[in-house]
Amino acid sequence: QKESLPFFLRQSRFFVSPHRVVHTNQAMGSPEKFSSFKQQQLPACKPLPTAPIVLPIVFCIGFACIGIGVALVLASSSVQETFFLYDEQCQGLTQCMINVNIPNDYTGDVYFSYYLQNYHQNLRTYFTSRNDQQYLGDLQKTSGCSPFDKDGDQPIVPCGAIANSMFNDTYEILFNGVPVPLTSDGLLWDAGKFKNPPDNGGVLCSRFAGTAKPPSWSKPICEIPDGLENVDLNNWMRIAALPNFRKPWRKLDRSKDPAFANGLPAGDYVVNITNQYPVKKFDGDKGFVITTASWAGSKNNFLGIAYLSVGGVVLVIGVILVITHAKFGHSTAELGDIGEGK
Amino acid sequence: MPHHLATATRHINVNSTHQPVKFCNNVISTCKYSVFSFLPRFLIEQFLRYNNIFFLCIAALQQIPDVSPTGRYTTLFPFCIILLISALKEIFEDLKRRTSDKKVNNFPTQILDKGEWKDALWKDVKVGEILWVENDHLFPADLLLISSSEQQGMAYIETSNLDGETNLKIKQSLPTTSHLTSLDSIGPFTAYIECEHPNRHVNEFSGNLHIEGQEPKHFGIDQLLLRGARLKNTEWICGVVIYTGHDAKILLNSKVAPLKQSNVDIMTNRRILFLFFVLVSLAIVSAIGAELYNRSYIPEAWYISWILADGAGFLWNVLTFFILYNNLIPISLQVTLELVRFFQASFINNDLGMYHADSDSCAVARTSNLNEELGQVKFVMSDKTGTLTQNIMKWKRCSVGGVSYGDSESDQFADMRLVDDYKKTPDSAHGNAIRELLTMMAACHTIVPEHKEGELLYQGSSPDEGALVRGAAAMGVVFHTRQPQRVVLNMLGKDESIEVLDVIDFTSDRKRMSVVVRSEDGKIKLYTKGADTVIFDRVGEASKATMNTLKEHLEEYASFGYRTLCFAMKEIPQDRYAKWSADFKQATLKIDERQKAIDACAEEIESDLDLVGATAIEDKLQEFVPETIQALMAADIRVWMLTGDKRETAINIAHSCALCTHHTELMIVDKHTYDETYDKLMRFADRAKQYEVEGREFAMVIDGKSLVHALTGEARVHFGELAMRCKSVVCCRMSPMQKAEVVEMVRGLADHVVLAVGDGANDVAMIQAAHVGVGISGEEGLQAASASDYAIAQFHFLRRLLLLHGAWNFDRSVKVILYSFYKNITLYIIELWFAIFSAWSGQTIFERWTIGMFNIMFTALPPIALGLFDRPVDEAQMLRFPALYCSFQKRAFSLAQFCMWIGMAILHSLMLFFLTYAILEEGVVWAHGRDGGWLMLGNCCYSFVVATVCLKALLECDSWTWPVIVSCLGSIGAWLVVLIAYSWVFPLGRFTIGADMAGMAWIMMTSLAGFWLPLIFVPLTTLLWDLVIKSFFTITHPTPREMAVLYQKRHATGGFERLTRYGTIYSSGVLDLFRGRTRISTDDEFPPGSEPIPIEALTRGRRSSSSMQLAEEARHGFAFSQEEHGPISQHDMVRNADSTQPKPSGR
Repeated sequence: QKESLPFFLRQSRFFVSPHRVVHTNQAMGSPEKFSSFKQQQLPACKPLPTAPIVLPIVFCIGFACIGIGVALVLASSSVQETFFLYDEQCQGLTQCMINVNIPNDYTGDVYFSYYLQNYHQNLRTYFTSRNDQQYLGDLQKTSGCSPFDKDGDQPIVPCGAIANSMFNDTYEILFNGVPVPLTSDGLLWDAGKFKNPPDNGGVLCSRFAGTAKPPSWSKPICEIPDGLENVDLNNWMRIAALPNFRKPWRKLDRSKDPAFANGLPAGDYVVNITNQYPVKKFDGDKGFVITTASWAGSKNNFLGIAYLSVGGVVLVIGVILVITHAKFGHSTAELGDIGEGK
Repeated sequence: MPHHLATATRHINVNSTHQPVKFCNNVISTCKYSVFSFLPRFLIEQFLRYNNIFFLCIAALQQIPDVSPTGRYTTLFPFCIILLISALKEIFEDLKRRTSDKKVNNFPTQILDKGEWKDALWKDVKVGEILWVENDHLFPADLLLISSSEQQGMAYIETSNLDGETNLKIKQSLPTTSHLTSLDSIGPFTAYIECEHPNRHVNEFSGNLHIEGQEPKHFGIDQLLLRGARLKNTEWICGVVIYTGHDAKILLNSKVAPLKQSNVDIMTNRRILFLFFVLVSLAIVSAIGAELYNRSYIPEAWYISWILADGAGFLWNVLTFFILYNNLIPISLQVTLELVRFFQASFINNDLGMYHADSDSCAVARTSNLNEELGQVKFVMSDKTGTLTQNIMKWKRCSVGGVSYGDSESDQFADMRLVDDYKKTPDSAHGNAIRELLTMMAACHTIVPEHKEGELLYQGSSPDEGALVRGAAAMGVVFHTRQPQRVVLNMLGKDESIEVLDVIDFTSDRKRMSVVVRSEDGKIKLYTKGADTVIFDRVGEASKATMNTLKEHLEEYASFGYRTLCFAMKEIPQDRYAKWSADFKQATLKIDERQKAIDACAEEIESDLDLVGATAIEDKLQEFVPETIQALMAADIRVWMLTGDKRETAINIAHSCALCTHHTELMIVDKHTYDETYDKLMRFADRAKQYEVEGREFAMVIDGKSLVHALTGEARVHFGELAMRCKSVVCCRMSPMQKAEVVEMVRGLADHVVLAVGDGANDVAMIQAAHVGVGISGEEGLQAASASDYAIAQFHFLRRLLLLHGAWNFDRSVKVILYSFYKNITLYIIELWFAIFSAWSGQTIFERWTIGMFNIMFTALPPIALGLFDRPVDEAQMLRFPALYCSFQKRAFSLAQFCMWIGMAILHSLMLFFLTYAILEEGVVWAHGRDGGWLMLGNCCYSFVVATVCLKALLECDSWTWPVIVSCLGSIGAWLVVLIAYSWVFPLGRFTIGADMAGMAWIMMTSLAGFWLPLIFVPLTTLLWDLVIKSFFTITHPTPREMAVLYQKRHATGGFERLTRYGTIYSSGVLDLFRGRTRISTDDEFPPGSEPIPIEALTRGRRSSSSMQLAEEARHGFAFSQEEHGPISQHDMVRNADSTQPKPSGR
């Protein structure tokens, strides 16, 4: 009978364990030697990806993915969005009127964003050309802002290439000839917000005395609303990761006009653009976005669809595994069955 | 006394505190560092490693302003932490060495001080002092033997530590000093010694002893007791210290332990080099991308075109990207591996399974960088004496008058039938034969009896004779007195004096020893004992009848691996003896061709003998040796036995330790010339091929002389080829250097890992030459153990060391390495994908410090946990199925594995980046419409990478224990905690650290759709494919490992059927072992704690007759150890010994 054992078991007839002899009263026998930790005997779960283990996991994941995917798709499809590019249309115009039709009511908060295309805020040299200490009010700090650090002896505020190239197109949205009320409240993160120098009792410009404006700017920092705490400046300085990006510009002020209390009503709108920011030369483009937001943010079907399709694929794989398993017939019961000779 | 400074010889004043020059002290040190040398030596050692130089360069490059995309200190800081960890480890290891040196240096000894014996420590021993060494103690330094407790200043020493020879060596003091056996005479003894300067020659030594008022006396190697040797069978000796400490011959012969590098390390370095080239080419490709942007886009982009004025050139960009991608080479790999190995080694050290209770010692991993090499061993080169055998001889069986007495089960011969049969019929032929056999056992030898505290002890250089004399004594024939002319036996209660007339020495050529005696009744008898072949040729017609039964018995004994001796005798008529005796005297006095004359004379008398019987002596094996060797061979490891012993002994042991069985064809190479050796090798190589076809087992036996030829020129090729085919090889009569040469040769044959295991100083060269050296620490053998990489107490621990620790550690270390590559590539290649979107400007996607911390914080623990706690197969399974060992080797660190992991890493990084990209493309993932910006993308992607990489570790881990789970999930948690903490840092005083990170935790964690859902979704999607592919293969093509785990899981209910059926599907050669399967019945067959199967069961059985002509001698089991050509011949030994004289006390 022994001869018929498989080779590797036959060899192991010599399996003896003289190994686990324990001598507690020996010098080596200090109690911590016996810990299962040191003896590599920690209780372990051996996750073997066999069908009985993998299949339930696979199906659970599949259904969970589909569930989340449905929720995300619903969220995304509830978002209303209008988007247009205008650089081509407005070429050569400083004031540019674009007609926009909003087919149905945009309910809830409505956001107005500008969009830049092929604009590399993430270029390393550009990216690092800033001084966060200056932006917190220490105006003399300009290190790292070169070449936009100093104008003669005066520090440029805000210094650096990013600030210098701040986006300066502005928009006016007219609904039936009436300007839509806008606000910039709530469009900034509390963290990392810039701060003006400490209040010295005078006007804002007195706090910025002895500083120069960035070369590309038309007016000094103190003449724009809130100085360094300006929402547009702060949003611009929060670098976009990718070359095509949107930045929030304004939000519908629903408190001012009861017509907009529930959001943006359907109808024809005119966007009046002050067209100042050049992007044509480097094949860039500019755009404008009117959108609502769901819990998942702006319109983005990707995550929902991705969840759905991964869920679907997982279920298909589950089925394939079931078939594979059935074909090879490796059920626990069968494995447990020594079998009367198959 | 003359003082010659700086002369060609060493001058020593004996028993004096003043020496002409200052000699080195007896302290030995194996430490690597001192307090002052630590820093420079450590740094030099660290910067000999390529990757450390690499990171130093990166750290230096980062200091150039504006070139680094990740700031100045992001490499320097983690690099310093890593160096610090390495330094701590080095210090710890050196402290351990210090402790072990201290132990040796503090061994006790006794020194003559102002006419008194004073207890002292080894480290206090100085040149010129007189030492007192007791029986069974090691010599603390090289000593000149002055006197001893034995006659004429003789001393027996055991040099197996030095040269591996098992028989005791005899040393003898100069006649002018041998009388100094009492404190009164030694105390005032002074002399002046002139001798050679310390040198490495162990077999040569000369000097002169000047005693005032006497002629100078020359002394040589026969008077030198070497450090490392042990005093045996001698109560005490006195000796003058000649060479101390590092001047001692043994220390001069010990080479500095070579730094061994494991194969895995070498492979890893190659892979790192490969990654380095990948890195350089990526940097160049990226710089080309940057160049394109510099030419087309940037000149037009007014907001940034000013940077062109700075003129960042192509090379500058290459540098930038080089720094950006530098982390493709895992900075933490070295230190992770070091830590993992360090703790793996401590697992080895703490393993109770390798704890030897008798010596109260555990295994010691002396180097930790070879842990995984233990899992790749293909050749085990083992020493014999002290490693496989205990060097204890026990008389087990005897055959006399056609009856075989004794059994193999009892510890030593205890069959009282032998005496009973004699007592029943003392006068019959059978009774007489028994009487003669016992008499011969008790009288025909060179042993000297010694009465000590009422006990009878036997001293002698031949362990075989010792066993026989003790055996005879146990049977009631007690040899108790030896005088120059006679021996006195107590024959079953009655003293019987036997006059010893002549002794014809044992030599390896004669293979026999004879004694001519005159018994009490006045009859002159010749007693001869020796090899069966030799004896059978010389027996007379009368004995032919008993010869055949005796042959059968001998065959049986040999099949147990016993050492057999044949006994024969004859009565010599008075007149014939008188004539022969005169001839023999003359022959012994001859100067030319003395040996030849003696042999001829002996030949004349040793003829027409009456066969008396035969004895079988067991050379006791160490515990579980056959089991271990079987297990190793089952793991497809070739086992070689390299021994200094004679061929017969070696083959005997090879049989008894299951290295070869009775089915094994032995191919013996024992030629003396190159051409003969070459021919023989050629013929055996052909025969080996034929055997392979026929599926027969075969083994090669080669001796030292043939080996010299076999290792030269073209023969080397054939020898190598033959050696590769043999499952086992026995090399006998090997010098220590030859052992090392054989190891070197096998290393050179192919890329196989060679492990050498030995216990004595003679094995040191071999241990150092092998990839992995294992020393048996046991009771003695400090030399081998301290030169080894791993020291174990017993040979059988080797099985656990290799099959368990080796296989595990190999699997683990490979995982650690591959995983480290994987995680770094996964994270850092994302920078490349991001470069496509950042105008190849070198902008990082991640925050600079998080990049640096990735390796030392957020993914530091999972590889360590993998390396320490992963158990691919449970301990019991590993040991039970040795075949798993070689299947693990095949899961090796292959190029395919590496490519698969790298491919996985690239795939994962693509998925991680582009999934994140798609999710965060619009930037607004909150209900309040704010924008997350650059780090929203970077940090989210980073989080997903950390989660994926940590979960991948779990997926790759074969056994989830709490440390693994905690370290993997904990690492993800650690990142989230650090993220929150880091978001609060800015603004911190005058520093701008973390300006980019300000508030990021809040920004990220308030987005369900942008962070939390993807945190589940992205790693899941990325790893799903791994899981699916893995489970697909597990279901259809389970690996042996998985089968073993399955087997274990089903073991309670059987289920072996499936396990074996998989084997047919799986075509790999490994799984050939699963063929020819039937089911196993129950657990009963493998009770985990079952008793070992007796050695006999392994080796018993009929031999195949076809192999007879191949190994004629081996089959007979003859083996005998005796000191030959020593300073005192066996004849003189017998003539000089007088056990009735009291021994001097020396005190």
